Amino acid sequence: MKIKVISRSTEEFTRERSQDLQRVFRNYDPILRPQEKAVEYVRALNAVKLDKIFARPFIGAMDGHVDAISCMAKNPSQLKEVFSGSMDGDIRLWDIAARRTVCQFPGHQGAVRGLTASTDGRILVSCGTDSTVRLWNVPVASFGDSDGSIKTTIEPASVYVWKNAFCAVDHQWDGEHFATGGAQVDIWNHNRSQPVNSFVWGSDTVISVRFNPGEPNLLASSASDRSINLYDLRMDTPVRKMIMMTKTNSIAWNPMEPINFTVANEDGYCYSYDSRKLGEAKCVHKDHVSAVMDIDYSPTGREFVTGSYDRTVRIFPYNGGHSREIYHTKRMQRVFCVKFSGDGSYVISGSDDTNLRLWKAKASEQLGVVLPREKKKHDYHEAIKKRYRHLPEVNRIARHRHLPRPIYKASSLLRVIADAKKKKEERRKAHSAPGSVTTKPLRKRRIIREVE
Amino acid sequence: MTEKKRKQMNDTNLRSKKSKTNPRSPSSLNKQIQTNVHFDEATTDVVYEYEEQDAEEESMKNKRYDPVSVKDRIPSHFKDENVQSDNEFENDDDCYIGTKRDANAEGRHVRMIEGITGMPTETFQGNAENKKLMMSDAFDPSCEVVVCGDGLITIEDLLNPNFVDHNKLKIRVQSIEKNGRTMHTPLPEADQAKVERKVAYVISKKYVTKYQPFIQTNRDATTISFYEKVDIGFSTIGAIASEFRPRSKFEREVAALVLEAHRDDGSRLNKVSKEDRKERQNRAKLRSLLFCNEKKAKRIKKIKSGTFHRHLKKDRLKSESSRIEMDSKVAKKYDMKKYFKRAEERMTLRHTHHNRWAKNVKQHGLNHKYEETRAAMDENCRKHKDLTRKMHSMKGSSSSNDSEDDDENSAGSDLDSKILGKLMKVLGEKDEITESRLSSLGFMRRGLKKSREAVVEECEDLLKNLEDFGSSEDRKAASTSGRRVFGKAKAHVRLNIKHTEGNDADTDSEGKMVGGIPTSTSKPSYELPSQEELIRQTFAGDDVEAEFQKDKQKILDEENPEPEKPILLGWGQWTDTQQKKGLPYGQLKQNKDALRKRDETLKKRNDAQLKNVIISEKSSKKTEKLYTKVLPYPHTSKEAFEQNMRMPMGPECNPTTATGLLNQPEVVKRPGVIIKPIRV
Repeated sequence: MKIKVISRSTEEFTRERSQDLQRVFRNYDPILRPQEKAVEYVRALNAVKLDKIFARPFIGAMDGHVDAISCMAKNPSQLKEVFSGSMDGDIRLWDIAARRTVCQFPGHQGAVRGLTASTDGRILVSCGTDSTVRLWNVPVASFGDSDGSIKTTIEPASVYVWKNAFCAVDHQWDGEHFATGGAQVDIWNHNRSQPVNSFVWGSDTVISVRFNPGEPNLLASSASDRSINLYDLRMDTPVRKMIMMTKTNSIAWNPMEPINFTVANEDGYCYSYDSRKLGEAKCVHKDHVSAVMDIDYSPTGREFVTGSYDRTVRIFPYNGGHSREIYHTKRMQRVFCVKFSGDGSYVISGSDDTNLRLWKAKASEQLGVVLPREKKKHDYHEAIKKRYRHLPEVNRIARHRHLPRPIYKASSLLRVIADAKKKKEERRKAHSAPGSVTTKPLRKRRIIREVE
Repeated sequence: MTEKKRKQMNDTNLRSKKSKTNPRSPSSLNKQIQTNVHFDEATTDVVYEYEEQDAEEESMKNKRYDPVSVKDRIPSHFKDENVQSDNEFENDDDCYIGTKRDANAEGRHVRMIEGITGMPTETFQGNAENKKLMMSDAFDPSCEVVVCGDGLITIEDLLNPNFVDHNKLKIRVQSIEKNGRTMHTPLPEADQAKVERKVAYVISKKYVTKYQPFIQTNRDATTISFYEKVDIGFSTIGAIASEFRPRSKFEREVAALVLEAHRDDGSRLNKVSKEDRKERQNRAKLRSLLFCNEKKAKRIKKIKSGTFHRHLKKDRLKSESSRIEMDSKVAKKYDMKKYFKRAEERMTLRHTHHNRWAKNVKQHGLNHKYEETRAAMDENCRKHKDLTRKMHSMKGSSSSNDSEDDDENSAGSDLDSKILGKLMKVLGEKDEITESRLSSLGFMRRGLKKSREAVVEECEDLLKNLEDFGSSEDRKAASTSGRRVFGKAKAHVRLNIKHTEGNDADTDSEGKMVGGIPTSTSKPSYELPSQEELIRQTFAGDDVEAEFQKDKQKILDEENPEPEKPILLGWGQWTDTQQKKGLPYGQLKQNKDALRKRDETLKKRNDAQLKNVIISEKSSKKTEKLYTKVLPYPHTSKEAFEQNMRMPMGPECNPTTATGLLNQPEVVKRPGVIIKPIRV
């Protein structure tokens, strides 16, 4: 008779320290665990429910402005620094870790409409309705001295008065150019008091300008004639124009995919475009019930945040049609500007109620130091959630969000309208000669034409 | 020279008007022809020249011409070359001998440049005299004038019959006309901008497209990692501490002390004697032991189970008694305790019937009423007696050990009898087993027999041993007392054994009796029925197949219910016509369709072809929630999806190395680290 005896050497099984884990042997044969799928399903369900329980996205509000916040800029070199400009001409530098104002930049006579900082974080550029562009030297906080050694008010390093009011400004990544949008798109240099270059195409006001962070010579602008323009600094001429049915309020380039950008439209949708094929959107992101005011990509390029006139902030996946998350509070009014933090784990929104708000990008994420075993557990939960996402119960719980009543009503109304339109179109199609009525996909429907 | 000049003109992208030999519009041209050209009569009827007011490109009326090439100064080298070549040409060919050539050569050259560049003559330090001379030249209509700007070049320069014959020139002019480039009208500005933009778009597309492969790999990757190593500035606590500089007086003092202490490696601070260390270790050990014991005691104290505590007490007593035996000190202590208790009892008389509780019990007659109270009273009494017994009598209690021994003995005999009884029971049992129905099967019988034989053998051995032991005991007992009688029992056992043996033999071979008491109850005429017969008997009157079919039909009906029969809806009687007409056509058709559908589904069932099998297609509700009806989005084929879902991802089913990879999140990033945009 053959006898199998367990033989284990003591050396291998003795722990070196009492904190060490005991060595455990497992038999991974799936036949031994016929119920594993059911078990994992239940785990996924529990994980989704836990997510709901731990969802506490709101970290804090930063108040200090006395008028609506019109624009924000993050310091590309400092994670915790955010600039905000308000409608009364006040500009503030915030320490979002401590949630307090570090210093103020007084000087603008009218509303500040655009803010941006150079990539090294030394220079802040602001522009506004007072037709001035102001350059400021950003105070640098050295390590250790946080005891208020920084001056509380800063004088502008230079002021350039120009012929027209400005609506937007954006700084080139890793360069010394910045672009302003007003009557036209002007390209400025840090060291010169006049624009280096101007792009004129069409006669309407430019609302927003955004440089491509991945390809620093490319920039896009949107104008109030509902157009979206592409420019290339190397080419000395506008490159392409596309006209949509409604105005585009803001543009954001995907930092990890320099060919793609997403626009925040007045119709409440966001459209992702490939800059090489402007005839058709790559993806239409819909969920907002009112105009989308601002948009910013996460530095990971996998999601973007939008702020809307419907008083909500939403986070969309870069390739998904619907939002992953919606943030709202009772006191938050129209959101005019949103930004993702430099590490992609926080979202900052500025709204009409003069407050900046700090949110977590993942509502139920655990902040602080996460131990390796905890991290493993979180990863496992994420993985099973993703795997069983298609099952109705898991999906339902994961997608459920509590909405403010006006938004809930508006979205259901919009749904009804869309359904009615669809039905009407179907009927029209059914009652006309085959091929005579064609449906344009939503990706193309809102585009009027592409201008060469 | 004309040719040369033309060439040069072409080269500089300036195109003068072609010389016109065509006399078709003389009237218009005549006006323009100026008189300052010397006219040679010999060529009157053949050649004439005219002059335009201005070259079109010079007038700057439209933007057809490249303003740069028109306005710009001719580069110096060009000028030099021109002059040089002019001279060379002249000298080499010796074909240009104009009458006024010597005087006008310089002027002409200046004029030509002037014409080309559109600048005033003075700038080229032209000769005013020459110019005047030129202006005073007589008009000659037959001269051809090549006009460049406002200066004039005589036809004589070009067509001196002495060096060029007319036909040759004509041919040349024609060839130039034929081969000359024609300038199209330039595009409007808007269109030009459009074209520029188009080109720019193509180029910028090309710039951007270089990112395509990187984007694709990023998108295809299961995880995208931004986990770069970052230099935070300070790597360790030591590094931060090394930055520390003492500022206040106290800090400086402390720093000096520390520095002093650490002068030679700081080993002085850490020096501890050997004994000290040992003592410290011992103390630590003791402390930890104490702590452990304390914890244990606490834990045990918390346990509420009475049985547990009883056991604990028992154990404790046992260990105590053993210790008393082993250790004289402990024994002495124990004795002291005992004496103390006795003395206490004598003084306080605690366990007598005179205390309050006992009195109370007696007064109310509780000891009669409650069994437990009485027992408690008795116990109390016993304790008192024990404790107040005289010492010698206490010693005398050891003599009672004998009686205990006796008890043990008696208990031993009891045990023996018990064993005997059990053995006999076992031996007796087997008859009953033989008669059971199951054992009528051959293999069962054989197996049983074998096991029983083993049992019987063992029993017999045991009995034999007992007998031997019993007999010896018997003898001993007989010598001590006449009370214990084993002989009878022994005989009985033997008898029994014989009896069983007989039975055993019975089962072995029917009807045979080998010794012992014959079993008269056995039936010799019984025959074992055959297997078939047995089965037939057991399942007599069963129609299994029909029942199965019925069951199957029932399940089929349940899973695919038969459509309802069509009926005429209404309250009661229908008229004759209606009844004759029958059911409405639509209803009938619906029913027919439903039936057909049902048949089809029945045919498609997994057990449709299997007669003796029912495969239920009803899905259980519990497992239903684990499955999806539609293929989830990113998957394209069912097989791939199933393959993906097959293996669980948890740490229970995967080794640690695999689990990490399986559960990697989509985006791996480090909180607090700025992520830079893509760079190629």
